[in-house]
Amino acid sequence: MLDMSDGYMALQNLYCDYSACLDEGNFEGWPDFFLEECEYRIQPRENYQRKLPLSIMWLESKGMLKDRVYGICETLYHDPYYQRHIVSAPRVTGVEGNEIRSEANYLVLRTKRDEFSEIFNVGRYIDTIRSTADGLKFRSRLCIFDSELIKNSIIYPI
Amino acid sequence: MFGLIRGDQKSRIIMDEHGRHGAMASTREATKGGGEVTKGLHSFKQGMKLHDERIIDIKPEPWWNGPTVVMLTLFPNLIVQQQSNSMSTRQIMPRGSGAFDFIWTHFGFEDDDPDMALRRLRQANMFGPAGYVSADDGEVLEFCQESYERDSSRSTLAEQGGRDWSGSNHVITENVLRGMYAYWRKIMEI
Repeated sequence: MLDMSDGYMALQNLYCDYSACLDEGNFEGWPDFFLEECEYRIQPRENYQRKLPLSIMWLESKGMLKDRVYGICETLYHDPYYQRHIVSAPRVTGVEGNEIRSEANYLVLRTKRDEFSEIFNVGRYIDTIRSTADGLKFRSRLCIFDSELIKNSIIYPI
Repeated sequence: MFGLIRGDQKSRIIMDEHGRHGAMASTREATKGGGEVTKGLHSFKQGMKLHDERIIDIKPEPWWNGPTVVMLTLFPNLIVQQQSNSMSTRQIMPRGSGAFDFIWTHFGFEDDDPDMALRRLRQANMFGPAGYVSADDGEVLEFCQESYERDSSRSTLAEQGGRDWSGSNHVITENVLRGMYAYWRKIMEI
């Protein structure tokens, strides 16, 4: 049998589960991929490279992630869409104690049911992942996207 | 959102005499519940409470001189805005018919202390393409545009709040928009 509970397989599995969660539109499940004290950021590459802090979404705790989910489900009036995440195999850039640093390229396709599927957001995840009793959790996930243009709005997490 | 800006707040709409520039100034109040204007607004959530309130850790600044929100529209394509401690500009750059770039620039002051700089960055979550306050503006504009263009052989008229651009004391109206277009038509000689 495949052992998904340890090592690189566990890491790959975390990435797969995260993508599946968002692709299913299971936003309530999204914060559980993170530690209580965590960081989530969607930031243009230009700002990241120039060390300019402004991000289009910057959340600093699991509570803030839950608040975002409430916004998505209840207050942010928007045209619903499907997401489809295509994520490369994670590239481990460091391991220190119980933390892994890794990166992966991502491509998010957006589909509105009455329109053709389109490339929505393309970039790189830069992650710090901690091993906990509940499995691997993100301490931080930065979504650094390449284009400075966004197709109107980003409502859901990437 | 968070009582920061609501349709039933005391708001002033100011226009220059030609209707080309406008400003909406509003003050955050300890309003409870929803008044007449918020009835039927799906996104108005009375009992909402945040898990993490750092995003709305607001510190009044002396230069506000009262209003907590000011949205200044400068003809033809610039919006300069203050919402609490968040400051930004939105610039509209046409890309031909049916499309435009919407350019967000957030800014602070050179003499902001690190606390204030951090506060402005946190409050920036309200604005921009994913912002709690602004993301649905963009979505709604897209809905509107799509519905107006649905049938090329007909035209569509949207007239929220009437057909003129005279005064109105609340913000659920398109008076200022009509004022701007009236001026635009005039100088375009349409």
